[in-house]
Amino acid sequence: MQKHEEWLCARLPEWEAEGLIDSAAAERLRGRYAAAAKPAGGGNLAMLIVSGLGALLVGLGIIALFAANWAAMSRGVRSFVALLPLTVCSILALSGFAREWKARPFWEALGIFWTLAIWSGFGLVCQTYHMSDNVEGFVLACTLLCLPILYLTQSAVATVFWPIYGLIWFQMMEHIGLASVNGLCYLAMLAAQLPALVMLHKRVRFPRIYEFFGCNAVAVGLICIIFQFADEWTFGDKEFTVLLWTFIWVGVSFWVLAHLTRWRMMRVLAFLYVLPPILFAPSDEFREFTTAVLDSIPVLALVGLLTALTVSGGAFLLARKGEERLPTEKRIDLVIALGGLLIGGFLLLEPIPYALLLYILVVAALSLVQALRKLRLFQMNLSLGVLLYEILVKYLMTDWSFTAKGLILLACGLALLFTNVFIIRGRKQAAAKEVAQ
Amino acid sequence: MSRRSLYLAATALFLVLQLAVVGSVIVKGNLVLSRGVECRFKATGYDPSDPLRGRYVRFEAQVETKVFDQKVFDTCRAYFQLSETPDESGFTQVLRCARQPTSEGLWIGPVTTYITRSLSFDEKREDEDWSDLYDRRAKSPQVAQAQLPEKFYAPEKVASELEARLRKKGAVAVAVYRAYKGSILLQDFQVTTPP
Repeated sequence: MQKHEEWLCARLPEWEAEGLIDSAAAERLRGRYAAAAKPAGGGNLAMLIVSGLGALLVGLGIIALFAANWAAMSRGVRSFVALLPLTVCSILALSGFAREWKARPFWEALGIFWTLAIWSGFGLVCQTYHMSDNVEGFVLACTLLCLPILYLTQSAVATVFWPIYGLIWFQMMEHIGLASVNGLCYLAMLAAQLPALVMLHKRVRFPRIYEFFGCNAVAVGLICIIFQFADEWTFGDKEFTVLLWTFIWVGVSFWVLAHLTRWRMMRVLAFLYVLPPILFAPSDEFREFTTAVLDSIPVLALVGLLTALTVSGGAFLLARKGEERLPTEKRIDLVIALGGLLIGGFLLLEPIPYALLLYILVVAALSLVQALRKLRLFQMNLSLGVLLYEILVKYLMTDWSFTAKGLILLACGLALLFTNVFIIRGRKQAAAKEVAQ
Repeated sequence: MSRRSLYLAATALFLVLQLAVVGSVIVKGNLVLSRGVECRFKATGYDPSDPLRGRYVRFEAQVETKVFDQKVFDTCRAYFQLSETPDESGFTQVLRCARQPTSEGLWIGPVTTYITRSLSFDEKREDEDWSDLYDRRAKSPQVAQAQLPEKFYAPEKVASELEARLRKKGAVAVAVYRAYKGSILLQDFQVTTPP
């Protein structure tokens, strides 16, 4: 149905030019079908990501709330509570299929929540009975149980993340050569996911999706290798190393995507992700390491890569020729994002500059209010993202009780979901008013 | 069969599968805890934390034996025979370790098994060098050590109190398990301190 409406709207200029319909008729048809041609949440990747993140935060919040009060329940009640999310998700899916619900945000959020429910439900049962010795079995069971969710909900996030569970299981096993039994099992798991990937590609219509997944498969493989060899490539301690390499991985991944897809935003994102490692460069850990092994090839390659990405990303941002120039509103968005990243970087170092933290929180909050008033989705998500990042990084690392942490996670997830719904509904109402006029 | 009916049937089947898989773990756990033989082992522990699960007690139970089959060297999972009654000090004895159960009695396994030395690094004397400890360790007899469930998910406050007790001099930590038909599950973790 959506494809027909999109096809119709795309044909209208052509028919008008050929004289099949006049401009008034074209406007009436456009007004009637244009809104349905771009349904809220239908094929829009950003909406899928945001609804996914909101569902993830809500899920984690609920998990944390139960975890905080777990000891008060008997084993039977704990087992019942552990199974409850699985059952609720299955019942929601049954209702969805029975009533033929097609709203993408519902199925996307359900797919993510169901995946979390399986991992958390199984994990909670193992925790209730203190079963912690067979982690490989636990990971394999959860991975296989999550596979049907990809087909039932066709959740993009669940589909994209599923191979990672299998990779984690594969890395845990003793014999990890691809020719071994475990390797063949892993390949069989990947093959079982292929139809779901094809379905996702047809629905989301992500340009050149296979290159995207190929890049991420290489990136995930690199990260697995880095985890194994992190001691040799460390910049002072393992966590710092992993953090730096993760940022570089994401930055490089987006850069490759920018070239493959010609999406300008990808270059911007590549620049934003490479910036924190540069901020960390003056830190003591990096200084000690570079002093000791300044002529080491990995360090030089890293510095060279960072420099190249930073210069080209910065040049792109400042470009003034033709279509490369960013509109003013998007520049404001980037300033907020950069500020958030700067503070995010500072939060990982001591002492925390509270004046800067307060400044960016105020700017993000004002930007959020403006975005809600003007119904600007990207600005709202960016501002809210900065606020949530500050809240989650600052408060989740404290010793507060899990009840408080759970409530914060829940509130953050609900805020993300409701603000997006508010803007989408506001835009629909505004579009409907425009058509009526 | 219509697409709608197919999806409904698949979802219903998946619901049953989920409940069956998780339910089997619950049933097995309850069987072991209700019908199993109580096994008490000395343990050493500490209290780490987890961003998702909060604080819990992590420990190492001393489950080892000098009596083991040489074939156990070839594998990392083996069976352990335990005494069905505790010794004078109230702890369960580990009688032997083998690749397969070799006689009647209370056997658990297969569990992850390490071949190591009976002298542990915790037994380093204050006036002893690490090289001397390594020499002493090399001369101590080999033992087959079982890695049993080692995480006790206590509530946040309880985990902290347990760790505080563990740090006191003379504290004795005991891991209490239940063993039934080859399976062994952790039931409790106790710390007693001298008055």
